[in-house]
Amino acid sequence: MAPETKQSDTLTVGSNPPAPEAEAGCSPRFHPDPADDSAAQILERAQAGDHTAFSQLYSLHKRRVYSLCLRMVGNIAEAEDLTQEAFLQLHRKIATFRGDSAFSTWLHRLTVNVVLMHLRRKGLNLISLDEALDTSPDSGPVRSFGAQDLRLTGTIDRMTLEKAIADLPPGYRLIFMLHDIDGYEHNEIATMLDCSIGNSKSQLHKARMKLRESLSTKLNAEVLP
Amino acid sequence: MNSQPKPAVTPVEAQSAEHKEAECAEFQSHMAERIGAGENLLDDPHLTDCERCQRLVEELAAIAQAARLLLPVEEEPHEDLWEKIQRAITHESA
Ligand SMILES: [Zn+2]
Repeated sequence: MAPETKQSDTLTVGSNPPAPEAEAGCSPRFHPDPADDSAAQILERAQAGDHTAFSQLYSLHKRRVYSLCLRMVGNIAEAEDLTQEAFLQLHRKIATFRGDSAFSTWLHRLTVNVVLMHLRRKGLNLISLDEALDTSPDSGPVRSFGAQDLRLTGTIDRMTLEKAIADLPPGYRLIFMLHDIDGYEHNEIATMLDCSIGNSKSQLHKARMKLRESLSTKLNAEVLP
Repeated sequence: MNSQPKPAVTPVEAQSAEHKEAECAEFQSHMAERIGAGENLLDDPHLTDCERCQRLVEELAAIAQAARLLLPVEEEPHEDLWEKIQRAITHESA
């Protein structure tokens, strides 16, 4: 399951999942002493209704959940509201977690669902993603083919990429994020967004094309004053 | 054969360049729907022959790879957030 592999990608760029003890200072009201707690024990206690354990669970997973929300909505205030909603739902549902999948995968899915519900409420019609995107003025024939002789490989830095992703239309951003960053498969995305697998594949291609165009412009602007 | 100095671009070359542009535009404009239909474009004869479109495909792959490697960077929510969540939990349980 792809969100599992994401963990190793995260390791690649040098941000290890936090150890509970490193997080103790971030839970101002509770002062857990988790030195001997394994993640499994914390989870078990949180499932049994232990509030201290739940705060430890928050400390362990807050970055992943918040970062996911932030990438999906691109707005700090909304991302914090959604993080809150995700942990509230976690609190309500945690007893139902049966351990068939890894907890982090389960929580990832729960969070994605919270964000998708929010986006639907906001009026982003995920079902008719295609129509919504295909009528945009930019989706005509490819404009950038051959226009740049820019080798993108090896020249993309995180800030430029983040900016380019933030500039994507919401539907494209969502598909790109779910597939290329969070590692969901097309069949999973199709289920989540209630669209066809083909739709997910073609939208991902269009999203990458749009990113390439945007990156070419941004990287060229850096080179040429 | 005479060895006359060659102009930078001969009319034949210009014509074939134009033809090539058209071929690339045609190929690239149908990529999304063909990918959506489940085709493997790597087998397409145009792609085998065309350096420009090969580079496009490589660049799209590079973008996906960069996203996978660069972007799962985790950010910290505001430190007040846990307080808010706790209050909401208490409110719900009341
Ligand atoms: Zn071509």
